Amino acid sequence: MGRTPAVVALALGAAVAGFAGCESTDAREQVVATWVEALAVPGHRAFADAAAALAERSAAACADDAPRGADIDAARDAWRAARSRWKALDVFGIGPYDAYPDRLGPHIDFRPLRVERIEARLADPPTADDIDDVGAAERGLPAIEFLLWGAEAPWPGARCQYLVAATADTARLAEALRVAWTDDFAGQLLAPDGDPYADSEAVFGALLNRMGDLILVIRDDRLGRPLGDKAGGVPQPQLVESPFSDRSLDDIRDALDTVWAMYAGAPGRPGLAAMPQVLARRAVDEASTVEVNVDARFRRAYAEARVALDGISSPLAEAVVESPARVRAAIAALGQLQTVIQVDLTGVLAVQLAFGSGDGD
Amino acid sequence: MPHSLAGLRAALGRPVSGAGLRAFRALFGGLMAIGAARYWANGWIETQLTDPVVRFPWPGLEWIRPLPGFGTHALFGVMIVAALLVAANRWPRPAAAIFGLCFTWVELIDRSNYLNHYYLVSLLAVLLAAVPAGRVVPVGAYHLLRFQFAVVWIYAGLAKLNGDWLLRAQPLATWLPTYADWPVVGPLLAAPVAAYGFSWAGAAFDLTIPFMLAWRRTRRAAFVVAVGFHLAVWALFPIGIFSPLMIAGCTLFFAPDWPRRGPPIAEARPIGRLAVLAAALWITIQVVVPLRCLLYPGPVNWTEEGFRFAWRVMLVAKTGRVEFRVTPPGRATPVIVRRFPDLTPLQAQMMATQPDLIHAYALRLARRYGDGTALAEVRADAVVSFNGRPAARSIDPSFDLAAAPESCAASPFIAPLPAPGRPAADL
Repeated sequence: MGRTPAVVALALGAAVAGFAGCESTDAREQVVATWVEALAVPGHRAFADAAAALAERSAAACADDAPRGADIDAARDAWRAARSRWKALDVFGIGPYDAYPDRLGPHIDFRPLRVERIEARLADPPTADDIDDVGAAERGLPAIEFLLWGAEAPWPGARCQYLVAATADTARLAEALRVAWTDDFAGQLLAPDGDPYADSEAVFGALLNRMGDLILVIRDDRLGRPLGDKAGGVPQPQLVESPFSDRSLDDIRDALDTVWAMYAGAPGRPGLAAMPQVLARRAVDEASTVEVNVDARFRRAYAEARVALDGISSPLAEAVVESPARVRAAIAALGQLQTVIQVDLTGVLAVQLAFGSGDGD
Repeated sequence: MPHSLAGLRAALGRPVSGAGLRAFRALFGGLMAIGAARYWANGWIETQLTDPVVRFPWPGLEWIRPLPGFGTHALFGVMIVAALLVAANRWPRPAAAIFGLCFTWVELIDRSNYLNHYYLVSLLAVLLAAVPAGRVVPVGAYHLLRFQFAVVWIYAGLAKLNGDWLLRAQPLATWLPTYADWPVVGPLLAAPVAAYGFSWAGAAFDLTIPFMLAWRRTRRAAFVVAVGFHLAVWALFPIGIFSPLMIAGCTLFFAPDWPRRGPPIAEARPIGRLAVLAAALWITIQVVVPLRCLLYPGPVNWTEEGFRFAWRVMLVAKTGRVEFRVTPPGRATPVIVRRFPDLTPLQAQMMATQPDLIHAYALRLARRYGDGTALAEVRADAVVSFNGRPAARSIDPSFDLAAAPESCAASPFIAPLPAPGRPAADL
């Protein structure tokens, strides 16, 4: 072997060794790890615990022949707690939430609720043994909310039987969702192997897109539809979420809390704000106007969205009729946040909105 | 240098070996067969062609649609067979014509699928169907194909001579940091200087490579550089068959007998007048069409008017979103359309950043919400981040898009590119 081939071979060997020995420092992987390990997995655990507590409280409230008001209030508080944990997981509505065969999410939270069917069922309410035969629109958190607040059937009787069955069912589904995330799906996100995500870039992009889509859903479904955006401006108050518990706006706040955590990170864990591209952009733009500073824009848009939401008087069902301008202002403020996420952040981070859709040039 | 048409015909008709052209056909046909099979295997026939319920047809070509049933898949089957025949040099000209017809049909089904290299493939298929395919061919056949590749490189290079590319290193400054996690080279790619280096080198490459390949003394080095450049681009960006196709194009600049030396070819046959005229028309179109962007106001990379068919590759990083306010006839309050379940994710993504697609969808909404005699009014709230700039409105939100028919004229509804330091878009 001559000198030149030997040098080339050595250089190639060194390069291969260098590649093999290098540990990935992908900021996207670190941020995804934060989202999964510090938010999604603990969040699903918290929801499963809260759903179990709701089932216990409901069973306790229905243990006596005639439940006391305090027991019902305790069950309602437990529902609020479970609902809060659940809405905090809105952005993670992927994988076992909506993918077959699990598809657990719609059984926990399906809209629109079919109140008339639930009322019809109260004549012969389901039990824990046969609630699986009940359609998604008649079980889960919205149905439980109706049973706790909205139903006219007297306590305990059929209402209690339905409540106990529905809460036990939701607790079971919540636990199944927790297990699916903890034992399987979290691993797929942290170490993607092609199904359903090709690589960490795809996972990162999918979850970032979920952030933007969630804001769109909040604007379009949870505020816009009740305001009448799809009905030529005629308010549709019956379309608000969590109408019976008067929790519509808190549902939105809980969802936004997680969006904020995904951006800001968890204690000791990086979020989007720590991404090198966002940091670089911030460093470059600090000498410029605040408008071109994507970090400042996110923080400002988020803060303004929260202020606009707080400006809506509760309940939302009344606000869309009596003070629609405030609801409209919240939609606009959330639109700014959506723009920062879907346009500015995805641009800075070079994330495509649709993956695997084809080539580019 | 010929000074008359007869002299030109004689010069272009000088017989040379067809071996180089044959080699190019083999590379082209092989790549096209692989590309079509890959398109099928990736499920893109369904996601891009047959699944969409709404299409963005090219104006005047609305009749070009996916074939019914298994027809589109069959079309790809024909395309693959034709490409393989081209590669094998079996009935190469008819095969190239059939391949080109099938490929172009597919390409024209939906505007949102447009890619520059798809357009190049169609052009090359036409040329390969037109130029002789024998053992001896007129040298003009090589010149025409070389010209086609040179047009791509030169217009791509000219398009890079702008502030974004040269002074802001955009969009590479946005794209390259996403490779920061690559071992060894990642930190280098993420460094700002890399974006500037790639930008300037890319412009220099595009503007000089056809000449370096054409000049015998620099040809070898130019080929090595071209292979390195296109492989690097291929590794960094999802551009499918474009890079190998351009590398295959480089071989056309070699001596015609580079694959196989043969005996000298002495007999000269001038090419026909019609062929010269057709070639002249082709060349004129190829030179003029990319320049049509000069007829439109505003920066073409922002307005995208005259952007397609102009070899403006790798120039634009855009993210955007759009929603529509639709006011049906006789109503005062608009319906807000924020989501597009009738579009595929790719279509929605393309629409959000391309004004003509926003306009086309607005016209669709105008008909859908119209009352049969009158169209609904449709206004768009569209914001785009363009080459690292903060989000800005891309469409005049007060303009009724339903009132503007689709045409080749400058679009009056496109918002101007904001000057630096202006307030961020509100939507």
